[in-house]
Amino acid sequence: MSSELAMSTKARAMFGSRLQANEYETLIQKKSVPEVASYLKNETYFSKTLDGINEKAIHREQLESLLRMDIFHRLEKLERYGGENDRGFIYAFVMRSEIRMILACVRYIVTNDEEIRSGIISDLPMFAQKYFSFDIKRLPEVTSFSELLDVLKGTAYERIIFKYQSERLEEIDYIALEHDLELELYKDTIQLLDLTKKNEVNVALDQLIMSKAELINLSAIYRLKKYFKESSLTIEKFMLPYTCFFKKHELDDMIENCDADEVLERVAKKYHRYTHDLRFTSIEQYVQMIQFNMGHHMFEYYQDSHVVFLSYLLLAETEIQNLINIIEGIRYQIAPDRIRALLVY
Amino acid sequence: MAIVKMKYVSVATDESHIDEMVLDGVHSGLLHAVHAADIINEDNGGHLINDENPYSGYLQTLQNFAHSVNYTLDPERAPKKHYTNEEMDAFIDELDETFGLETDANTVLLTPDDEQALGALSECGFERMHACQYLNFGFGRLPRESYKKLSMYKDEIFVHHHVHETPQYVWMLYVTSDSYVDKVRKIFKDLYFEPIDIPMIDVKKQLEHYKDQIDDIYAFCNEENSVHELYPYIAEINEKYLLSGFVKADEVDHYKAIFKDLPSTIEVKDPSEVPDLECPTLLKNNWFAKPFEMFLGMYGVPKYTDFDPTGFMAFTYCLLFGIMFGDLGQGLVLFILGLVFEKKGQIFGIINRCGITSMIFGFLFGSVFGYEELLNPIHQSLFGVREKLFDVMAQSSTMLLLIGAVAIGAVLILTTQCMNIVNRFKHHQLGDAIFSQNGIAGLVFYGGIVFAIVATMLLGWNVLNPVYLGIFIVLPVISFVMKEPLSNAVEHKTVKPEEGWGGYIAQSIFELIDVLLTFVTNSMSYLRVGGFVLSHAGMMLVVMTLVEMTGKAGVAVLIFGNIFVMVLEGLIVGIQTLRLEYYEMFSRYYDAGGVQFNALSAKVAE
Repeated sequence: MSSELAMSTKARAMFGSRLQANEYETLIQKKSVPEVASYLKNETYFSKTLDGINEKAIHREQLESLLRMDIFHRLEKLERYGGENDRGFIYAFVMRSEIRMILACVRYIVTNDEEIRSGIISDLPMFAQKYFSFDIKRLPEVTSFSELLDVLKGTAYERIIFKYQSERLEEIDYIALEHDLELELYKDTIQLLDLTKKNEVNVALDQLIMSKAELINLSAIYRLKKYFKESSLTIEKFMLPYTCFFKKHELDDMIENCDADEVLERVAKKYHRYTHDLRFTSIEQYVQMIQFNMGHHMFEYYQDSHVVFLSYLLLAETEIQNLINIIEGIRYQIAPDRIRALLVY
Repeated sequence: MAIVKMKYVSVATDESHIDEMVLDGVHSGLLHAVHAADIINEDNGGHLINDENPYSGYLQTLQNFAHSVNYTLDPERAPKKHYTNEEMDAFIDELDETFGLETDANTVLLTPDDEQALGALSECGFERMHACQYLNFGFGRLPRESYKKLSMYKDEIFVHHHVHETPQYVWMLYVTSDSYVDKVRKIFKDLYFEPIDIPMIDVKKQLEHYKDQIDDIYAFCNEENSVHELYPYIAEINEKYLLSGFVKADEVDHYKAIFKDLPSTIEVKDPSEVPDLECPTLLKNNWFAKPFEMFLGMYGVPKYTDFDPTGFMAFTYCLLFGIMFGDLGQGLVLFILGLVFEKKGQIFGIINRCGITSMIFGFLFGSVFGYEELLNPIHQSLFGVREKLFDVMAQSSTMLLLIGAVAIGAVLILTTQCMNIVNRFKHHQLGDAIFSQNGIAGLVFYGGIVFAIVATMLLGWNVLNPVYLGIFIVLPVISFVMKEPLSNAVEHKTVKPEEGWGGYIAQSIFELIDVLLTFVTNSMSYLRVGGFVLSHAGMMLVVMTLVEMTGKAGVAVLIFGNIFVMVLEGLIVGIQTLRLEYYEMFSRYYDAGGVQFNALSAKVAE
């Protein structure tokens, strides 16, 4: 109990120093990435993360990478206040990077494009090296599936990659591979939490995790119906086998019988608690807003360290995504109004 | 013991007078400026000034130049003349050409670490590097994270040499041949390498000629830059440029007069007319309470519309401290110490005030530096007592002390409840004022219990009849349980609680247990006041016993013993009293959450 209180207090203190509306407003008025870097370094709580950077010369990607790294350090900080189990969440968080790196590696094996290899090296999150389930430094050396399997030996990924290795590289179903790896991430997180006991905290945790999968599904259904007019059979292939507020048959019914607007209507109804006063601009932003509102609600109302940890992660990721949107927006000279519309806070 | 009245003042001028307006506003030292982002909104169509600050670029360029040639710029100098951008550009071009450097701040920012790294690199000889025909050199900083990845490029043809490092970067030189230069550059670019040009020649001899002009332009840019840094406070609305903020009400005329020579319009509003902007709080207290603003600030200043509790806090703090640290001699030392160092910090002011009450209670307890009988003759002549007015160490005094401490606590709790009720009514929070544990219901409940105890134990009255119990116990308890619906009713909102009746009642019953326990624990919390009186006397008894035991060294033991007790007890009692203030009193009647008034000053701008 004491560590739970300590962690939720620490998390709340950290959340309290988040960027405020006026700071976002100031940031979107900036004209260049160095100006953004300078503001973040000198005026916000990112000063520690960006301490020592040369804001005039920093690469945009380097700035984004530092901001992403910041989430990781914040989680490590929180983990020190939490229990042993919370460390597992860091592993789960790192799994996303592992999957991203494995997919990039598969792309390199298939295309043999040196640019991809170079990208793998520059993207390697060395700061999280100790949490990786395999030796990431060996990834850039991989040129074939057998080498990749050798690197991934003993991990959960080995079985998945083994299933997809093929002599005929052009036949590899990349989307299905991505889907399977993503499934592994959810399985791992669910296993970590052990939600078999149905109490209030577990329901909240279940909602936090499953709603993410469900919203990914809903967003995919909306996009595939709206922009690609895909058949229900194709849509089914993209679905993660998890639901949260919707029942499985409701999701099937939506895939079968609804158009994109009706999908949106049902989402708004089901998630009414978190869609109040939401304006729809794009499906990506809409689901991000729902997740943010849900995370915020959980963060405010629960003391449990798992809930606090997961909801804080969600909120922190949203903040970093906002900053990345601002940086990209300014880099590509998008009007402040359009950048503002992308922000979630 | 009040909050200084404020006015919202907005000065508007045209584009050509922004700098004068900003300078006048800042140099006045009267304005708590409001950030322009808080003023602009979709309704007024305003926006922030997007004017780029060219002077920070020029400043950086000159600093780059100074770093490159190891020249120390004069930061104190006042500029002799005004320079146009064209003049400064021409001068910088001339410098770059003469010295063979690339100093443009838009592309280069040389920091002291860069300079250090360049210094280390210079041992290799810049000229020799530039003279190489088939080798290519790259120098710059690489993020530390990327530096770890260099070993992954096993097959690439380059060598690198580490020159300098900080926690974020590694400064390094790489060397490759002409054939591989593009590939190697691409690798380093992918790793976010930030290149720094390797200087061509040593040019220090040229400096004497340009020295004066460099310093003058630097001083000019410094001055202009400080103005531009205040642009975030300027909002542009309908082609007018507004510097807005809060000024003390009695200084508004003085503030307005500052802009009399400026073509401007000044709008003055009451803070209530700008509800979206948070009016800052400036406390105004008398000599006695002033230092306690420090403790209040640590908890949080009151909102502008709230009341200032500093006076009450000062009184209760000194009272409780004085009781717990009652010693005439030690109090006198605290008083003198506080008086001498008062200008060094507010904490000494607090020590000074606490010294006064320590002396008063020390006199009443008859204690001087641990000598418990020294004041007996005075007590006997003044109060007509046999020995002394109140003997802390007497066995009969212990219970009286502890009961007295709880009684003081009860009075303070009742007082803070009354203050809370007045405050809530002032803010039209009728529900909290009437039905909460710190409202009328709480006052009736706690007051009823205190009165019942006093009447039964001291006066021998039996007041615990059904009517009394109904009015002072049952009614308030119902009020605690039904606080939300009752509050909703008096505030004309939907009576039904948000979570439904079942959930609400269940939750309220648990909360009721918490409320009742809080009353008990809060009252018991004041026991520490009596406890520390005994502890202080006990510690001094130990000191005096040691004095007697040590014979001739007794004086030294007396002095060190007193110092030890003063430091230890003073610290503990100070912290415990602060705890009582924050947890037992503030939690009942005080919501902080205000913003401290902080006038912009020329110093801040710089």
